Amino acid sequence: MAKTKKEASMKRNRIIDTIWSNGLLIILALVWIIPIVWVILASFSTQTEFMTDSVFPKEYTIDNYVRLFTETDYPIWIGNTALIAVTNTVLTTLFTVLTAYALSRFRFKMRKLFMNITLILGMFPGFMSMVAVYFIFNMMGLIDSIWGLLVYYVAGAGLGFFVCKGYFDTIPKDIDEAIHMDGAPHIVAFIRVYLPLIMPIIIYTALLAFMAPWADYILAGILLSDTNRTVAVGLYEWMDEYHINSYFTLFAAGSTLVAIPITALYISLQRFFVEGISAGAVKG
Amino acid sequence: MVDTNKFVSLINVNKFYDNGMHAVTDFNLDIAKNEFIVFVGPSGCGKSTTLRMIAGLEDISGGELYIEGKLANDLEPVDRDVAMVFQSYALYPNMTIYDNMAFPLEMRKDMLPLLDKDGNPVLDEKGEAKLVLRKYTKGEIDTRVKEAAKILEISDQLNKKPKALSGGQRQRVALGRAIVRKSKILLMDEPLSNLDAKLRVYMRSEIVRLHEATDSTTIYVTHDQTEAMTMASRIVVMSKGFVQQIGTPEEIYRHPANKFVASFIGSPAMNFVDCIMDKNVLRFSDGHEVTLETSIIDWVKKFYTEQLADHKANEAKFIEERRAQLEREFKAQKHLRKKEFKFDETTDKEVIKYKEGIAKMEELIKTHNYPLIFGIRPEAMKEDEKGDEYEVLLSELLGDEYYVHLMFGGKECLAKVPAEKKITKGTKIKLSFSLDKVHLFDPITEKAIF
Repeated sequence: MAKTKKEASMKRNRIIDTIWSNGLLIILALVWIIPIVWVILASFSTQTEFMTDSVFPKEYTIDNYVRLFTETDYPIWIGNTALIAVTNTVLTTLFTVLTAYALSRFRFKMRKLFMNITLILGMFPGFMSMVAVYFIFNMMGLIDSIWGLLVYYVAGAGLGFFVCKGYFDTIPKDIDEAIHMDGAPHIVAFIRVYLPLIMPIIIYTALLAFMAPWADYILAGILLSDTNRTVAVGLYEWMDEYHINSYFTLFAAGSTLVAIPITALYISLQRFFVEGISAGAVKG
Repeated sequence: MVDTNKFVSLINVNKFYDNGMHAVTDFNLDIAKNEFIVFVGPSGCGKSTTLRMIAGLEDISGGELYIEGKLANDLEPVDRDVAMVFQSYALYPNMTIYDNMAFPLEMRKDMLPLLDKDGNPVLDEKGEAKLVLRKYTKGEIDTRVKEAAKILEISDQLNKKPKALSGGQRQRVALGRAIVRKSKILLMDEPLSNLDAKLRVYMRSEIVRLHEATDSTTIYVTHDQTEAMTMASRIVVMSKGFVQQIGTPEEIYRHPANKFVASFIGSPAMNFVDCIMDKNVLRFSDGHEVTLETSIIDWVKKFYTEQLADHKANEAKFIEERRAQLEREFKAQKHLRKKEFKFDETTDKEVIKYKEGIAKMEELIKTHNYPLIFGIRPEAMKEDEKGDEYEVLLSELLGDEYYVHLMFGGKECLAKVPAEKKITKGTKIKLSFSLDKVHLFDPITEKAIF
């Protein structure tokens, strides 16, 4: 009798738990999704102002998207950003993977020290160096060029090796020795044995490298001028007090478009993404 | 022509690790062509380290390694013409079984027949194929891989990935990868220890068969004395970085050089009981006596005289080696301490032990009263109506035989007796042993005397 009573109370607790946790998740999801839905809806609105008298637009049109490509610099921004993103993806991935390979598979002097320094450097936020970067780039004539921005992204890429190294570390040492015994040169071993084994982490690194330029506002805002913008900088300008009332729907349309490729990539490669993150988490 | 008895030679090979550990001390061994050598010992005895030094995966800190008469200390593993099987198999997970086995060949250049444009070998005036150093062609690799796969019965697995195979099959692939190269020397580092007991027994004979079929020279590392006894043409027993004994399985089983070898080889282990030698009688603490046929007391005296002379002659060397070892360890951890290295031979434990040994031996020779360690294998104790009677303390049935625990000479010992009748706790059994199965060890150096 006592047992069934206990069982009943356990069951009740479980139901309360389920309701409570699911309820919370639903609320969080709503809070998260409402602004996105709102921006998407606004991008189809006929009213160009930021302040409207209703949450949902009264009339719908695709005019904003058409104007985006015919009347504004938006195509240039997209082009710039895409160029940076693609180049950054290739170079950053290459540098990160090579650095991780060297630090994981080889033992050399200063290896530990190098990793510790990197770890400490990584604790400072990147924009602390912003002013210095500006002056240095100014001296080198890299201001106002998307290549300058690219140099900034790629130059420090190797320092983001930690997650990737963690993944490399999971490959047993015996494999290295087998390669050594078989007499394969490092480059052959790297391409034929290691690259296929670390595919998940390559995709993770590449995805992060591809997404970063789309979202980077601070540095792009400083290094690039009016004519040579990335999407983030360009769109943000439409949000200032002079533009916001006439450009708000355009801003919404632009934001929505930018989100599409990234979201698509993210969802299609999500499997690798999770693998990459958890690999770093366990072995980092 | 290279001396076939010295196909592989290790001369005073030493290994020091960065932390100052002396992993292998003065390893000397000549390996003949086609031998099956087994290094056996407990974990941490230096057997794997020695193997890895032969493979070229570890540097040789001191001494020389000759392969086919050529000094190989500084050769890369590829240039030593050795193949290795790893304990974890170390297959490339992303490649198919075929590619795993083809990979070592793709990476290699060998002396192979010169081919003309159509892929036929170019013959010289005598009608023999001309050999050149070149890479293997696709066709040659294919033939080799399929040949090896056939020997190992994995022909139908070639398109699978290692993940899809069972442990035993992976082991075969690892062996296959080692034999496709037709290397002169095949190294195996505990290849069977990841398999279950049944498969291990099966693969044991497979490996011996493979060794005979490929006539390579095999060096095999294991901690399992059964593997050593059943597979080896010669066994190298190691402990704490020292070679304890080298010999055929039979020699090592019959005439162990010291107490360690006696206890390590043979299962269950040899029984050891302390006793005192009085002329040709061995006296045990419980009053039991064993009478030897002839008096060996002079022999024992000679043994101790020689040991004493040897110990005295090597005292300075021992102290110096001990000091050097401690200094190495100290240097390896120098960043931890600030003090200078100090060595005081009057307080060092090992040196004191060594000196005490000398004093004890002098005492023994003077008093003519020798305490010894008596050793007898469980299988040497036979049931015999005329033998002494013992009470069984515990019996373990293994099917056709019992392991019987009993008190012998004041110590619990084990005897292996056939399970012809039921033996339980308290049963009285009569046992005797032939005197030529008796081993006697010196308690100071633990060396075998008799």
